[in-house]
Amino acid sequence: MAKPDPSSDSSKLLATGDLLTRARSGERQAIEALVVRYRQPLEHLLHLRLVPNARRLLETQDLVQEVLTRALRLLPRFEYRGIGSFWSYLRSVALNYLREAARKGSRQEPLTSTGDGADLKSSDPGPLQETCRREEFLAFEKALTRLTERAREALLLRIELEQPYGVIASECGFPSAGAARMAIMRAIKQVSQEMGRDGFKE
Amino acid sequence: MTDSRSDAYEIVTEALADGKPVDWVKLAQSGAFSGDELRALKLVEEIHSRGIGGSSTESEQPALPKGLEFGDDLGHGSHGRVVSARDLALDREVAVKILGERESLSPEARSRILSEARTIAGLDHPNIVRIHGIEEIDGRIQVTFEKVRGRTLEQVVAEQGPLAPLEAAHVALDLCRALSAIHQKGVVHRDLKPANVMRAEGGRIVLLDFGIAASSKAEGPSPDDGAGTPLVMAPEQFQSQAQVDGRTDLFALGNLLYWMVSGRFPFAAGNLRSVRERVMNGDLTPLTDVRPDIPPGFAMIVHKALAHDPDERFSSAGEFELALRQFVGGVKATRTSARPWRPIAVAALLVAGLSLALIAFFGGFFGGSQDYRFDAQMCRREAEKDVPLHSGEAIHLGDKLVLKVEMSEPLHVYVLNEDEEGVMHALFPFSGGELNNPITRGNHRLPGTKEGDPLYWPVNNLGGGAEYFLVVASQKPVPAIEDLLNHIPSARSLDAENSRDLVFRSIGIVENDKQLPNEESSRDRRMGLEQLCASLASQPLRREGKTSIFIRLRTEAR
Repeated sequence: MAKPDPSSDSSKLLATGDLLTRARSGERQAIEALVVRYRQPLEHLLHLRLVPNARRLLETQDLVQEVLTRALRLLPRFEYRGIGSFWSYLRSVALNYLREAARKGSRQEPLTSTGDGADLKSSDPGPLQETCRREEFLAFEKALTRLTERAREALLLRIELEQPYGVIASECGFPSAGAARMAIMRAIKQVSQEMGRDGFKE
Repeated sequence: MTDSRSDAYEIVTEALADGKPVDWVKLAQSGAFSGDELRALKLVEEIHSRGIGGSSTESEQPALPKGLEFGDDLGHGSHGRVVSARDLALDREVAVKILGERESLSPEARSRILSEARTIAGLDHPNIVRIHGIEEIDGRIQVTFEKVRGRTLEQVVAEQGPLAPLEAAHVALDLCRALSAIHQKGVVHRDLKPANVMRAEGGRIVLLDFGIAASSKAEGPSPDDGAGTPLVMAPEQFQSQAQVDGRTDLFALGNLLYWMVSGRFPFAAGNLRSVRERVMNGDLTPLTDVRPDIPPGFAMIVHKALAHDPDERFSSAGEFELALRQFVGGVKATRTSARPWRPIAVAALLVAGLSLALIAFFGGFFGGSQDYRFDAQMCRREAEKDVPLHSGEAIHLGDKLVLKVEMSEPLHVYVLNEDEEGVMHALFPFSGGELNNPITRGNHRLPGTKEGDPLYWPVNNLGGGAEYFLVVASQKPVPAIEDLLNHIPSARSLDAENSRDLVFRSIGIVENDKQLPNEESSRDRRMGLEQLCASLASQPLRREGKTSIFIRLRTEAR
């Protein structure tokens, strides 16, 4: 089965800046276009971080809608510097949303794998296992912060937005697609080593 | 950084960046990565994956194998989505695991998963989830297996609270049998945890989710080893994955036993880093600290399973099972006050240390001591052929059993049998046989021959649910067993003309019970195979060059 590639029509993505300008002015079609374009990667990002219980209780698509609504509401504060920066903005809104949801949730019913501070002494293996996942994602986010901004954006554009190397090179200022690819490979290695060195500590 | 590590990193980062399948097995075998690094790399793969296994498009319904109709979504297991489905032809519910795109596309992963599914499917073990079929549809592997109705241990303990030690031991006994069966096929489960064990309606314990299991024989460790659940992971899983073997599962079973009776994990801590440090330092909270009323014998079993050094753990699931049976038997004996020797036997067995491998328990093969070689294989006679039977397999009414042995020098061989009720019988040697101790070097089939025609042990009775066999080989007569032979019934040849049957009570129907002690008197006198093993283990067996093999066969109606 072919993997969906949101960047197959890169002209649309290159127009994200224009869409954002129109969305800021309240143009409904522009907002809908942004929602359509970023819904799937956001769904994937949220799905991975939602614990199974929460997946049963909440529709990921509803969460995506909430996150996009919040992101668009906060759009006036956002400075667009390319697709990478917009995706970083969107995912930070999504992760903040999940953290807030996790704090509101009870200890017995954690919503997400992105929060922190869960107690592994819990007697229930369900939350314990979820805590493992939570700490994995925490370690991943922490490792991301140790990358340069360019490497981080390139990596996320590749693995979360599935952008072609050519687009990433253009967006992040690499001299060629090959250079972007090498940078992404180095970023993966660095993230892995950071996570391995820290042993998934918070 | 070594070249191999650099090379391995280049291979894996290239594949992850390009979105191509990763040969995790080869990477793990390279030993280039720590467990945490592998987990990190697998997380990157998961984030990059849009396959069903980690997809956001879960609302999309993939095609199922022909004849199956979609039911509920049962969740996401390791490497794939699991759905319930109805088999329209057979009108039964099944479960289908739909593997993620990467797993389906990777030739190595495909090969491993298919091989593993065939292996598990071939076991037909009551404590292992049954696989009905495997197909590849739209590039994805789909495994259809029985839908077990019941609750996971996770749910059981959540609802009922911690289990009594005896109940937990019975659960672990079934899991030992399941692990014994898969280990003998070279498969390591690697993710034994409360959510992967079901208590089916009716009480059957079923081991689930072989999604990250790997063949330890053919491929060595799998780098799915980055997966697994850290709270139940053994030290070697945090280190180089090359050291993972069946004993890793036994560590996880120790973890599970601890958790079942206490509701806590032995290495629990505030965060994963601390968990890892505690595991790596062997810093576990003693079971009696969290549950003081735990019997010492039970705690000893759990702590032995959780030993930091794999060599100090039980050497096999069979050995683990034996210790648990000792405990269970001891508890029952204590309750009835009828077996005052039982607790002593338990202590003796554990203190003597089965890890010394004086008594080794294998399904069908044992490489002998340093002094000599002795191999044995229990077989079922089918169409004039000897079909090997492995520990945990089923025997049926009418089966004819033989034991094939091979020895490098003349040896005294003893074959003893005990049923679930604890009634023991001597299968070999027996009076009137043409093959007697010491048996000459070379290959032989026990129980031997009668007037040149081969004999066998018939299965004429299915009582008890299981039959246990102990095979002992020694360069000299073993006094403890020779003495035992005087007190328990032995197999004997039928008098009927041309009969090749040997009759004994546990499996066979007694032809003439006037010549045999009644069951009650037999029970009173019996030592039990475990007791016998404990007795043998307390002797300097290695120096005398004794070898023993323990086999458990299920009795099952066809």
